[in-house]
Amino acid sequence: MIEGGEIPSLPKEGDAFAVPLGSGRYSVCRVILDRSNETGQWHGGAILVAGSDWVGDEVPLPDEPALRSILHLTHHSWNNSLNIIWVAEEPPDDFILIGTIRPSLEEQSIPCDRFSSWSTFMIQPLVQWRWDNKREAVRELERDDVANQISVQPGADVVSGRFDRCVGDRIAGQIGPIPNRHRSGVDHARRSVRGDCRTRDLESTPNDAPGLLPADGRGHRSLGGRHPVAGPHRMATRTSWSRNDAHGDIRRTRDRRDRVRNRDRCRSRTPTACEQGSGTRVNFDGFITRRNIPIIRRCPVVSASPRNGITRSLIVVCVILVGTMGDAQSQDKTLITVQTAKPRQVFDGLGAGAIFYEGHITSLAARNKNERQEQLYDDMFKEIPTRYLQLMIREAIGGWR
Amino acid sequence: MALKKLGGTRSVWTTEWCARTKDASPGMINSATEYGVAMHDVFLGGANVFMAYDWVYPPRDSGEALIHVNWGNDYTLTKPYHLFRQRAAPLKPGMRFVEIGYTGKAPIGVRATALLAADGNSLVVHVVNPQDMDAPVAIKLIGKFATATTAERKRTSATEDVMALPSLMAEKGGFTDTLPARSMVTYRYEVVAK
Repeated sequence: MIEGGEIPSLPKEGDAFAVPLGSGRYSVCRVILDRSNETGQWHGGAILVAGSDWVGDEVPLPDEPALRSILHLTHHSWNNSLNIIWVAEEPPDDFILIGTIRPSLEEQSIPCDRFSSWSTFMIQPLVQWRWDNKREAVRELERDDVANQISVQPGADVVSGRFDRCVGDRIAGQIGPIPNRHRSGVDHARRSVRGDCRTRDLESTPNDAPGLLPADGRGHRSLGGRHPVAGPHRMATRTSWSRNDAHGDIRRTRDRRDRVRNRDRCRSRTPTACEQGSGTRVNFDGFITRRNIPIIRRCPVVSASPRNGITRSLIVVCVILVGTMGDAQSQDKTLITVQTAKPRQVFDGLGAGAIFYEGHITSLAARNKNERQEQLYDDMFKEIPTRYLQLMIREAIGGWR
Repeated sequence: MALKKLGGTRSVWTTEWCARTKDASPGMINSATEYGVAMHDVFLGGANVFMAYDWVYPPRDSGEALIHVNWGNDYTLTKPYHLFRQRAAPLKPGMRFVEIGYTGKAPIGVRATALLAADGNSLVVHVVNPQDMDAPVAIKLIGKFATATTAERKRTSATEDVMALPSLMAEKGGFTDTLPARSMVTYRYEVVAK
């Protein structure tokens, strides 16, 4: 997270990064639009980044065509959104620049009004994979998510309910009480404001999951919603912290106690006070492993500056919450905000292009249907206030009459 | 967007977009809403002019032409034609596009385009729903139109061609409406006189 007035050094348009997902697996994200030099606009000072639906076990070359395909998010209420966000911070150190993938004009025209952090590109492939392959487990967890406590238990798709407490509670305070059934959205949002939620905390042992990737080790789109892993490619269910762990209950009790203690400590201290805790690991098969991993974290001070990453993140949180509030609200309204004080380009008019194709435009008059011909002219030019007319004249080839 | 950057102060025209897939929907309403999305996208990308390609063409089973002329016999107006007509009617050269923001199901759901009159006294908002399901929307106006109390409405859908609907009344500072599946609604607002 960038502090105060420090200006981040953002990647340039086309830059592509291998995103470490843990256990030697990678996905890819790339910059498709650069507005970092613009100011005064909502997206000014930011770059638009797209996450690929490609996952492989080696750092790919940028000329791999499969990298261009953008992950569609179908989990919860993402409603087939593309995994594209605006980012205004530097990429994490463990993202690997692999080269340049030139974005197409079409990609640059994809509308996006979501701000978030780079961790999105580590988290979304995992959550989407769980949705595609372990949906019942996800649902079960959400049903059992009592009293807003995200327990450390098999089948969870959340990274942690603990380490986000400082930021999360702060955010929850900003946006008001959140029903239990929406907590997964809250946790997703919390993860989005946490720059330190790294996939280095994600663990699955390659030997434990022989089927996830093809035998040749080359990348494929197994995590994408459109390419679910099935049959022999389905990942084996093994973790380093299993439900049969004899000490599991003790650990869970201790963890719960620690969570409360840590949360209270966070609340009582200044916003930069909570620094260290243990880590949580998530496997592709959805099991969570809790280990004592030092994680540096901060509870950032929220400022009113529109260029401040946290402020943007808070806005993102609100957006994400609406987008993830469960199927029960799938009929929620889309709020369209029109900001007349933010003008864009001038509208110069509409036009029409017509081919004089074997005289079809004037063919009604040619058959003495003059009244109908006039109606056609009216429909073409009177009913629609076009300003320009583009004529294309081409030689008649054969007859179609 | 890149072209707009290259073009600098030049006016950017989009001249040859059209739907090409076979379309058996009523009046080719599917192609019409795709047309609406395309217009939204090019204007969002910075274009200043949109030309309707294949304005008049022989009958076909895909949605690229707006008017189908059966040589010497008759002609048919398609849904893309009506959508284009609805879109064009309230616009005048010199208007300015203004910033739109979404919260909720957009941007892959509805697509909105807003234009402010040159004199600043009227605002046009086109909202396209290219989905096969109804889309509830709430439109919130920020700035000098925040106190607008009514919105004129026109709608093109599978069963309507630029149909004038009863004006929409503001509720709690915004305008709520439901767009039928595969439709476009145009809202027009006037500045409230003080």
